Amino acid sequence: MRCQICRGKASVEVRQHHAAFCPDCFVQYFLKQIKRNIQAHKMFSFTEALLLVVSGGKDSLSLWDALLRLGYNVTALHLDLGIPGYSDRSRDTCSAFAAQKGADLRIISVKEEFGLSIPEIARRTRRVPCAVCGRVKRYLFNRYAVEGGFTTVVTGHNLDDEVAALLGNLLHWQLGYLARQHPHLPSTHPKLAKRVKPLYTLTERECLAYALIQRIPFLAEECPHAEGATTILYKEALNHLEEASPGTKLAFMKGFLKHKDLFKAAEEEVKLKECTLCGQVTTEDVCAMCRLRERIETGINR
Amino acid sequence: MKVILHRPQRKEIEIPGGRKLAEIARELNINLESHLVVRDNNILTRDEFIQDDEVIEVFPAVSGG
Repeated sequence: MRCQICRGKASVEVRQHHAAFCPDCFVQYFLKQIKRNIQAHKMFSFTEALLLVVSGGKDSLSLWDALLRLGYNVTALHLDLGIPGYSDRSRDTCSAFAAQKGADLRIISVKEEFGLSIPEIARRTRRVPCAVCGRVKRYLFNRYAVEGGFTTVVTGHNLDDEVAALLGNLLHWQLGYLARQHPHLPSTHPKLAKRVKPLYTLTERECLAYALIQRIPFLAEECPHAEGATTILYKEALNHLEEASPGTKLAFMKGFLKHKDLFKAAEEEVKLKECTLCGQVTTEDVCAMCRLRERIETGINR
Repeated sequence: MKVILHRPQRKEIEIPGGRKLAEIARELNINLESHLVVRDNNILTRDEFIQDDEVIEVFPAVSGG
């Protein structure tokens, strides 16, 4: 197989675009896709202060590497979840990458913030760790961005993440989530940073290829709580379709964005206000995070 | 030829080589849309011929997310 750009020996096949690339041309293709997504959805400019959320995995580190190469003004933020062993390795991976690139990395710890780690909060409140983790992440990332003067929270969600979420939302007819799912969620309140996903057209396999070619020392280990996650089941199902019919995932995503107005009616008119306890944006008097904090303190599942 | 599988646990298996990666992937039930196969630090396309004395590594791309 030949590289479609330079006609050298191909290394990475990208069947959804009927293409194959040598390692060097693949890197250029990957960077071009990211730049195109940023521009197409007016995600951010070169001067904006970006807060990139990094876990130490292939997706977030590949995006970090790409944004640095493209010359964006990016600061990374890692959240130490306090999961024994795994969180130490995640943090160390991010720190090593930052040191290697001379890049700006901030680290915040869930344990320092709430007095308990994610698994401990989950046990105390009798909730699923992934649900607690998602809520804590969204809250802390937004608060850190707003307080730190960052306009934008950038995440490493890729095409597989997005189509798996889309499939899940369709299977359960989560119309509200469908109305809100988009690679660019603009800020609708002064205390709400906009959220963007520049990798939303690139597959996990392409992110892995970029990380391997660029020799990015990412953490290949899976979060111990992700085992058996429904998301993985959806991703596997979609990859079976992709193998039989290349381009299915991208067409699913692009088709959804094209016809997204179909779900507009489900978009609830929400009035955003500030939490009476912490001042962060919420639709209630007390935000979900403060309610969780209350449960942590009382240890009562309400 | 030797195949090194990563995740859930690292595992090494011996299978007959002298054929294309696509055929090997089919036999091992490896979806090439969710895995990358590497030989000597080079990612391989599905039409790549693997000799009987070579070693390939299979990396899964799917994560919990």
